[in-house]
Amino acid sequence: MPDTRHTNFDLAIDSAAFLIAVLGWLFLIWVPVIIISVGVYLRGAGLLVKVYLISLATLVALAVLLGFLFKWAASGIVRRKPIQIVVATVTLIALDICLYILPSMSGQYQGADRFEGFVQGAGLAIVAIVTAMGLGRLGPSNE
Amino acid sequence: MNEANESKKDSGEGLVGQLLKFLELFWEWFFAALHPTRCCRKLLAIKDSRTRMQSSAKLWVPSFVVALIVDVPLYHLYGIELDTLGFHLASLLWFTAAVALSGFVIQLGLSWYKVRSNLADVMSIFACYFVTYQPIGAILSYPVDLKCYAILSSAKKSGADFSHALGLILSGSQSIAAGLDAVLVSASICSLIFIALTCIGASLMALTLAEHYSRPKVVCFKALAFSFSVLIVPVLAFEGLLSTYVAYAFLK
Repeated sequence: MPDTRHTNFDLAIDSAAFLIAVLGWLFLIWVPVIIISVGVYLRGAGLLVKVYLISLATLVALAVLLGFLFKWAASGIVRRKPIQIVVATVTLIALDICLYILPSMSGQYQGADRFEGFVQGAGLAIVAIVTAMGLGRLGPSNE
Repeated sequence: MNEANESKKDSGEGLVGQLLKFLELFWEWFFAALHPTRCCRKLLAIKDSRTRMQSSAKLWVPSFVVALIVDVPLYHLYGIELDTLGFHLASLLWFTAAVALSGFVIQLGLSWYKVRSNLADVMSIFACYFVTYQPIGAILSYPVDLKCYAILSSAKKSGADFSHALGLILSGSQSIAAGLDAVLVSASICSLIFIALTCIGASLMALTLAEHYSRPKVVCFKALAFSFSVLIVPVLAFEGLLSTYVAYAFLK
């Protein structure tokens, strides 16, 4: 049964770690699958083959790298390791800026999409904050 | 005369007995929803695997019925009434299949990470932390369902076949969803809450598994993350496809 010493605060941090681990697997498996599928679909659009393949491979490599990073960070957050907590927080904030804040500022999102982008961005920011709270619960007792 | 009266009395008592059993089932579900950890402890204390599975399966039915009641207005809006037995039976079948397959797939994930778990234990824990909260899932997926049903209904009225309707749902058909701004906005908030609740449920499940099998917490977290993000995805995609097909067939 869940340990009674395990507070709601710990549960929140563990939940954030779980989400980061899930994101890790998504980047590792499903994002490359989607990128390759879209790549094959767009293949007939008359793009330069070499440039096209290099950009596709770069995207897949980035996704896989991010996947491994998130998986490593998630294990560290569950064990309350400071380096992994800091790396995960910084990566989540960077992702939030690149995926939601910058596109919103440049007006890429319109109407309902804009609100959806805002909600997703806020969600990612909340996960980053909860992860950072793990720094207040460091220690081997959480192993 | 006396015999007839006695048989009437017996059938009346039988009916009351059945009603009480049904209410007892709901009370058990309500208790499980209020105290999932306590309910999980109670289920895991049952020695016999078959009895444990049966006890956890008792949580599915009330959960499904309450979720169905929550969804009644949505179904009514698109011409599916409570007496459309075919639709509700098919929904119950997909729901049960999805729960059973999810439990099996989590068990696979755990064995992949060398956690020697038992399927009956996994199903019981999954029932306590996830299946019990199906009505909340139904409420949170209301906006998304509303959008999907609007697209499906519009596609069916225009004479489009199922594959075309599915394509419209997957592409988010802007023209049909154009007047549903409030629904789209609620959908994104509800999805966020749904993800947060799923993560909390999964964390509780991982903690329970870690303590029950005396394994490190991190191993159970890894196993569950793998199961939820890699193995359950095809199961849920297949269940979603079948549910959408059933909805398309019964929509008016």
